[in-house]
Amino acid sequence: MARPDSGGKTFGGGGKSFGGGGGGYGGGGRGGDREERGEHGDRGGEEGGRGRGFGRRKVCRFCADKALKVDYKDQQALKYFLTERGKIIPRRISGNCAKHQREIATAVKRARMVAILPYTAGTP
Amino acid sequence: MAEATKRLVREYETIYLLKADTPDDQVEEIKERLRGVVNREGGKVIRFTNQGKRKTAFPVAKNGRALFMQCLYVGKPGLVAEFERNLRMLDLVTKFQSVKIAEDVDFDARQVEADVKIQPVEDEVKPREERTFGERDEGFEPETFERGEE
Repeated sequence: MARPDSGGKTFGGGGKSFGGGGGGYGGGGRGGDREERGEHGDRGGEEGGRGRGFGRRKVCRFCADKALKVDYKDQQALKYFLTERGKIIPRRISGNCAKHQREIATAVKRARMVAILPYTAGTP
Repeated sequence: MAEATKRLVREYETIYLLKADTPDDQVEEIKERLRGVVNREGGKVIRFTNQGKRKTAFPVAKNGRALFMQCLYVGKPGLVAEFERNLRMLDLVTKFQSVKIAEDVDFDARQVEADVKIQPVEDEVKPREERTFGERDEGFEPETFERGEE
């Protein structure tokens, strides 16, 4: 989990490919993933340490808005947490807290079972 | 001991998919049949929701569309098994899933609601090629990119 010496650049690249490149975050390359995780880990917007400002801390949108509930029947809301290919977007990207990410994951899996969300979508 | 004061049951929700070409009277028939099952097992149907014909994320029973029905009911755990057994017997039902919504619901306090029929939300799924990445960026930009400063 801890690989503090590398990764800042990789993350930048990974992030870009998430938005701009084809195939969502999955297209960002397997190699980069590891380091991203090591670098930024679960600590979200942990400030500095190595002199790098991270900008705004990501907040879990479900924690921010208590009225918002995770509902496996709500296709539109869940789509926000899926890549183009139908994969669940990891916590480090979506910014969810652990609890809500877990709920999201369960909800997505339930939605898949009743064909509300795809198990896999499209071909690159 | 619970019986003395109030009867605590669980609340379940079952979503079942019917074939897209199911006629309305058949839909009603299935509804009533399931209601009978729940009542027979000592439960109570809160409401049926007809979510209309919707596009499925993948073909179900070789069909890209299905009629989504949602049933909310309270009852003992054994009820779910019986409910699902009945669903399995119906050929029109292509898929179903039961989820526990809440535990220790007061049986008498839970009011029965009227059945609803909501219009299907036509999801504007464009072909993949047309879906721009910009669209997705909108949602994600604030959270994803603030770190890519270097």
